Amino acid sequence: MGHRWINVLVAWLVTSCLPGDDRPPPGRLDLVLTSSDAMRDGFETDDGWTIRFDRFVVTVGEVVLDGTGCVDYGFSSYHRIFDLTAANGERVALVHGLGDCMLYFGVPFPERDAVLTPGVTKADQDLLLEPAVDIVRGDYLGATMFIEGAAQRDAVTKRFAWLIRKDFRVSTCFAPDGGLDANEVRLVGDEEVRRALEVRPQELFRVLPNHGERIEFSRFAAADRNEDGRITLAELDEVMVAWDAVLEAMDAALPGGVRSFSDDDDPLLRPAPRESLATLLHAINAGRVVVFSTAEQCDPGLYHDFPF
Amino acid sequence: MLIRWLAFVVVVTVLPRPLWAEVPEDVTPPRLLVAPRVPYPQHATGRAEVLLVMTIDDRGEVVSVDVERGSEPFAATAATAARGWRFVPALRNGRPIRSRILHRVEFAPLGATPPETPTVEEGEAHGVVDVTVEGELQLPPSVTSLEREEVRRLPGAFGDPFRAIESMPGVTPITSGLPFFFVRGAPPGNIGYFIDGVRVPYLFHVGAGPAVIHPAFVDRVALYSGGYPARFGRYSGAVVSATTKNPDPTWHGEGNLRLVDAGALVEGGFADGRGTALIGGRYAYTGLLLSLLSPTATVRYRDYQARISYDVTDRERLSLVSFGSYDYLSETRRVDDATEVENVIFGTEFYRVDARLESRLRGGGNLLAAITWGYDRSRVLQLRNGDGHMVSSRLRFRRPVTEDLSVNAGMNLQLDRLGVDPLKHVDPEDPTVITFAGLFPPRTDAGLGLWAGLSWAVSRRLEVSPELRMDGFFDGDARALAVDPRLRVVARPVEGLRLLHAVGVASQPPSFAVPAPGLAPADLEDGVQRAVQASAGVELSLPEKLQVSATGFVATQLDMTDAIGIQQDLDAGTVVPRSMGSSKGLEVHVRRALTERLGGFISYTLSRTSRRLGRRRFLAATDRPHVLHSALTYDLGRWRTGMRFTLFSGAPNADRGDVAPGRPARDPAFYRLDFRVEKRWSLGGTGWLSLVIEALNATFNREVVRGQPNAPIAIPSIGLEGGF
Repeated sequence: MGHRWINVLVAWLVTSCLPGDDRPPPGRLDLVLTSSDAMRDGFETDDGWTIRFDRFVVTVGEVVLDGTGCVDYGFSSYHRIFDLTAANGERVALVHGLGDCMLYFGVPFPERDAVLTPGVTKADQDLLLEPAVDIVRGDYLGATMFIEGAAQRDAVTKRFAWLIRKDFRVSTCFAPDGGLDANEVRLVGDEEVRRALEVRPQELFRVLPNHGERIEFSRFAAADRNEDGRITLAELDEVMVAWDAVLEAMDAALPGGVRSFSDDDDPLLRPAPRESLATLLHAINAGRVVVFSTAEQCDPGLYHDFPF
Repeated sequence: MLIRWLAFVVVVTVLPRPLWAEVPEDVTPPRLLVAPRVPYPQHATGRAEVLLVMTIDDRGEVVSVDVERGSEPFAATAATAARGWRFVPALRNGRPIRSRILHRVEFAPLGATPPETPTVEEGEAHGVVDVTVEGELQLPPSVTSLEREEVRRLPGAFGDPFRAIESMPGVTPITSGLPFFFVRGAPPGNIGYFIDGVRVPYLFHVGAGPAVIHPAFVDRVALYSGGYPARFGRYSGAVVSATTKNPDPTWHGEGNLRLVDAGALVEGGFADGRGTALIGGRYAYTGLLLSLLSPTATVRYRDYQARISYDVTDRERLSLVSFGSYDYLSETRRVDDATEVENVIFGTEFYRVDARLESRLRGGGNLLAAITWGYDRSRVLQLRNGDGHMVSSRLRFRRPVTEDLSVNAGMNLQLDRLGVDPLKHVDPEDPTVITFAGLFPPRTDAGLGLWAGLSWAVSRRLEVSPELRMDGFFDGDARALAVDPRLRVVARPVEGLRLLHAVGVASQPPSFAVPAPGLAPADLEDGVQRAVQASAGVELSLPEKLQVSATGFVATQLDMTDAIGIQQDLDAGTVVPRSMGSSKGLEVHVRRALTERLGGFISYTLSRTSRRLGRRRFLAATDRPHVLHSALTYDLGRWRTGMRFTLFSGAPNADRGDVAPGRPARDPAFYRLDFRVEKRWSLGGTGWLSLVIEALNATFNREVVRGQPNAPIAIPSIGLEGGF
């Protein structure tokens, strides 16, 4: 009888304490970011413009493992600021988990403790942190990207310096075969895998957000109404685009006729954005520059609604 | 208010022989088993005498108590207390018999000299016992307190005294239903929780759970909103202080059974009533319910309380008190058929053992010496364990110098050895990880506090309590000294009217956003948080036992580590920038005790709370200009019903950055309705059983936070309560 009570007491005492971390060892995933020749050396558009970037500063972070058969051992919520013209395989995040996982990342407004990678200065970070009332008619927490460069065709040169004030979450990515598994990864205990993010600056100038569409700069150049050689976001906001065509192009990119923007809660539809080239660049094309290297195309989601 | 409960002194004199001629010579009058403690009633002043006629049965239990003479509220207080006393029964020829006795209970202000010789009363009673209650002269300003009997009837409080705090003036909820709140602009991390003077990290179980102390163990809870007594240190916002029930040698108990948990508490005496033993606790069996709602989630909570007390002499009591609490929330995910992983979302535990010696000094006054051991542990998300071992001692002394002046003083010393588990499964380059390691290093913190003060009745209508507290804080190589003067003034220009003023400075080491056991940031090199708090109020006693008070307050907080108010990320690994805070407002409280047949209150707070970061000044994220609580209860005899209505303004919707102090965009106002219905049965002589149906947010209203409607936080409850 006495032993029984001792056993009960011991059992109670043992279960009274918070357990330690007794989970099975996880797998490790090292997510890195590599630049591209197009970013470093420039590229030529389908309509004959040569684009070169002086700076392409972007915040990447908030890497998450998700999925029904996936266990995330500790999300990595921090941010890194990259200059994509100088990026060379730096780490985005090291995450731990088990199982078949979907890998997500974000292009967020940077935190003050964001890690600055080679080529990025504190001044760059301050620039991104500066709140603003911007061209897309709203108050913004800051910026997620700073893009500075020039386009040249024949003797014409157009310069641009844009602060992108939308933040993205990249979670829907298509593999070349159309499958939605381009960002899937299997994590096994005590094993390490490596995945890479790739930079595709051409996406900024895709006519419509579909991988099959042309890449053109002419309409951006035409936006320079005052012909001062500098294309501003304000000028891009005066160039209207057919928004139905934008949405159709995005849907057409999806396998199986799935409509990506059928949800009433989608910020692109609620309320309707200003249907301008600035919005296309801001809200859609900019979010497609940094994608998984294994993906044909990624459809970024917006963290925040349009404020207008 | 609580100060007078903590401070009262009881003097019991048992007369050595029968006093009345009617007592037959072969009869020995009944004798009290232990020194009874009678609280000095709330809102009362001055001296009073109450005569009680008590019937004691042959087992020594009190059968009936009638007031022979005395005015309210003293008469009711004395009668209520007397019903719980326990006697050695009267004896006739050595055999226990039923008897009637006359008791005199004398209430006297602190400092008044107790009568040396009890007055002999003529009457038909067979014995007399005198009880003198020595209370403080004044009701301290900026204090609101509730007795457990009142809380038991408060709808939506589920009988938990701590849950009633949210209804008190000056309290601003972070979110409806959650037990974290701002008090006069001070964030949860700046609010100290004490149980019998022992610091505890939190008061409620996980989420919207019940209190970590069984309600039957708690006598009353007081909220000190500012300018609080100097014995409370190391918190710059407010203090919530609970007082446990006095040891009672009469065997009694209480239990409750609900859908999600069960609790019980039993206490009894030994050694002829000189000693008492108490044990209680609560255990949640949420698994039964959760397995239906969310099979992958695990919620566990439990707590325990134990106390042994022994009256070494008639003036000295030795007690050993222990209590603890455990909370655990996790989610289990299946990787494959063979592998399941349980991720801890939130886990905390704390334990306390307090040994204390309470001594009633000859000539008035008292002395308390105590030593406390504690263990705290937190697990935040999957990967962080912080723990702390605490040893502290405290000494309190109070002594009347003259009839109008008493001195009180004390000290406390506290050592905290804090540690953290090594972080596993993290990115070593993650700045949050690096900051966490720097912010919560293994270390030993120390704090020494000394305080002294006076309670001086300048005249019949004016009482002044100046106090000074000094604290030294030590955290590795960092040190800080705080000198906190405090002053409370109570004036009674006319009968029934009191003017209450309090001003004080309070200091606190850097704190985490919400209280987390074992997690205290090591940021002392940037200095302590300080607050200057002032209030001025008027309190009026009206007919029909109505009390009305209105208090204006101003608080300025310096070097705050208030992550919530400035909308900083709540992650433990984030350095919180120091901010300045300002809060001002008006509190109005109209109440009639809920223990009355028809009881209720209206508690309204009008306030504005702002923060300043560098040059930027903005409204605090939890600024709510209007907070209204009102309740109405009615006792139908066997049925008790009540309803509480809560309404508060929406907080600034600051998702777009700072909010200008002018006319900020706010979330919509929120209101909710709580109700309580109790059916009560009497069982035997002292037993009772109740069926209680209660709900917080009975209408399932959804609160909008930052523009997004939350899931409705509603707590329905049905359960049985009983006691003997």
